Parts: sequence; C-alpha cells; structure tokens
Amino acid sequence: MRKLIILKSLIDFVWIVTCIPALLLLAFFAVYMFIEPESLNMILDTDTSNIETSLMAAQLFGLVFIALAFITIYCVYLFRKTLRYFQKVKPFHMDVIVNFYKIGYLLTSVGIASSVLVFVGQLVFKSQLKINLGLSPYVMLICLGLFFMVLSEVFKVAKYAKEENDLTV
Amino acid sequence: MSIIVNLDLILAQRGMKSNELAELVGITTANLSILKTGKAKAIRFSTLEAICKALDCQPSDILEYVED
Repeated sequence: MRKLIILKSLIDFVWIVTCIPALLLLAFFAVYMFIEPESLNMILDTDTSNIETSLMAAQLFGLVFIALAFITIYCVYLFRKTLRYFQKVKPFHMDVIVNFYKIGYLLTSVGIASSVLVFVGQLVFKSQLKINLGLSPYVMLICLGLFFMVLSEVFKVAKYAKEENDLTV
Repeated sequence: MSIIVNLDLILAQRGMKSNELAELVGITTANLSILKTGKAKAIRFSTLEAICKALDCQPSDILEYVED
C-alpha cells in the first residue's frame, strides 16, 4: 500500500503543480495566439516567415495542439480519480474499468493525432518530409494507451471472477 | 436459472431454521440466503456434503433441474 500512497502523492503533485497551471496557460494561449501569431513559434518550432504565409493553418495547428494537451490533462484527472478507488480498496469497481478504458482510448488517440500533427506540421511549415521510425514519445503514448485498454479488459475479467467467487457458497 | 434450490422445503420438512443450518454447516447466514434465493453461481462439494449431512438428505433433494 505504501507504493500506492507514493503514486497517489506523485500524481497529486503533478496535478497541482503542472496540470492546473497548464490548464490556465493553455486557455490563455488559445486566445493569445490569435492576438499575437508570433507566439505560435513556441509550438511549431519554425521561423516567423513560415507562419505568416499560412497563418490560418498555424492557428489551426495551435488549436489542435491545445485540444490534445487538454485531453492529456483529462487523462491525468481520470487516473487520479481511479487511484482514489484503489485507496478505498475497491479495485474492481465498474468506474475503474470504464476509466482505464477511457484513459487508454484517449491516450492512443492523442498519440496518433500528435504523430500526424508533427508529420503534417513539418511538411507544411518546414517543407520537410520526415518520418521518425525510432522510439518516439508518440509511439510510447500509443503503447501506454493500448496498455491501459488491455488493463481495462483484465480488470473486467477479474471483476467477473470476483463476482463468481463471491457467489460461490 | 434452470437449477432450483429446494432448501426452504427441506428445512420446513425438518423443522429447522436457516441460522441453525448455517451454524451446523459452517457458513454465514448471508451465504445461505444467497443459496436459498437462487443467486448462487456455484456450490462447493464440501458445502453440499455438509448440508446433506446436517439435513440427512441427498443432493438431489436439494437441487432440482427444471427446463427453461
């Protein structure tokens, strides 16, 4: 149980120190990038001239990036919520299974969307056709998402086994 | 469910109460209630043996198959 306490504390720390300020910063940035398009350089990692030529596309990329960041933060929130069930010693609650599946589905979607976004971003703003076949954070994110989905299935089987065991006299 | 548990009937015939049987068999009254109401998904041979011994009956007296 000590490991669970450490994990919950770490996730709480990340939630308070990183996620909540990030939510505010992202909301601010979603508005600011329309006022000051040069701020998009931070996300797109390119020079100003490329952004100016396709400002609409750059802003669209910025919005998609912010949406993906929001989804990732939502995953942290769901994980935090799920850990509370573990602390209450209710690991086979239906919410745990649903949350794990939701986290997995969202992380996989974010991983795929990020890969596509980076690929298209480099093509549009840097005129580079670059495919990263190595170990990229996006591939890791997809793997993590799929792992959560598998974990959800495992928990579903375990819940069924537990129910059957409880109803065996 | 197509397996019917006739424990109530046997208990009435023997004039025994549920809690007495639960005590004799060594299971909780809650578990006995699960068995009586037909909510149980399985029964251990050891439990069935203990019930048969306590009620002096055969497994077929307690369990009955009825086609759906």
